Amino acid sequence: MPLLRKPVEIRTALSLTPLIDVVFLLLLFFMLASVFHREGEIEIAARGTSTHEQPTTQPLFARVHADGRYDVNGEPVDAEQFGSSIAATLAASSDLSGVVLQIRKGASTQIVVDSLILLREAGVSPVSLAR
Amino acid sequence: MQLQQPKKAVQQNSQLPLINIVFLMLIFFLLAGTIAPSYELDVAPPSAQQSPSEIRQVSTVYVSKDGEVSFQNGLTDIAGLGAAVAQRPSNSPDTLRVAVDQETDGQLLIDVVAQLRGAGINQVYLVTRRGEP
Repeated sequence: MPLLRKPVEIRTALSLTPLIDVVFLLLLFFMLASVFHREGEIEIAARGTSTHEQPTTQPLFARVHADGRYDVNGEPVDAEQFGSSIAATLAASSDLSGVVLQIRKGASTQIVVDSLILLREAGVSPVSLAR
Repeated sequence: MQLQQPKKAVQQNSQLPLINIVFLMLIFFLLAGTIAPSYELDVAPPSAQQSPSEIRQVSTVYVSKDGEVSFQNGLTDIAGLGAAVAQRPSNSPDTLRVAVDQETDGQLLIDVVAQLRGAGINQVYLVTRRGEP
């Protein structure tokens, strides 16, 4: 009898196509939305605004030019010796503490950050910026 | 004949290597990447490999290459920055991040920091990029 026939077996294998669609969408989203460079932060201070002024000591004056040259107390210094010479000068004199870094006209923020990193690696602090 | 090959099973399993690879790529991008923060201006921060990686959850002032200043989606100029920052809620922290383009004049950076100090911001952090330039 046709009415007593068993139902056709519909439990075939699960279709993977919708799963692949969704996974591809997720993959595309994360490929486009993610960044691989990471951010960092450097603390910066402008001159004369620090709350901890020490009247007994004076800061050492350094200067960075637009082409990346450095002066310490008015004398030119190589970039490799910039941090170490300032650290040595500060360590030799008890009257000096901290550095005021004067930024000459045209020096980009990248140059400012490079010099701040050099001073940071030499262990010099505090550093304040001036124009 | 008894040597017929099961053709259907081969067709279904051929999708599995594709799914494996796509899943691997998905997991890689999930773990290796972070979602890009949306900058209010077109700013490329200066690169500094050795800068501290700590990132504070505070508001950010954006300064573009041309000297445009943006704070909390409001475009101002240098002179108006102090007033814009002073209008924050009184319980907000006295710390701000500054995202400055790497080609911005360094003297402009000093002006920005001076404006922020005048508006009661005691700590200013400059955003840097620690990856490849």
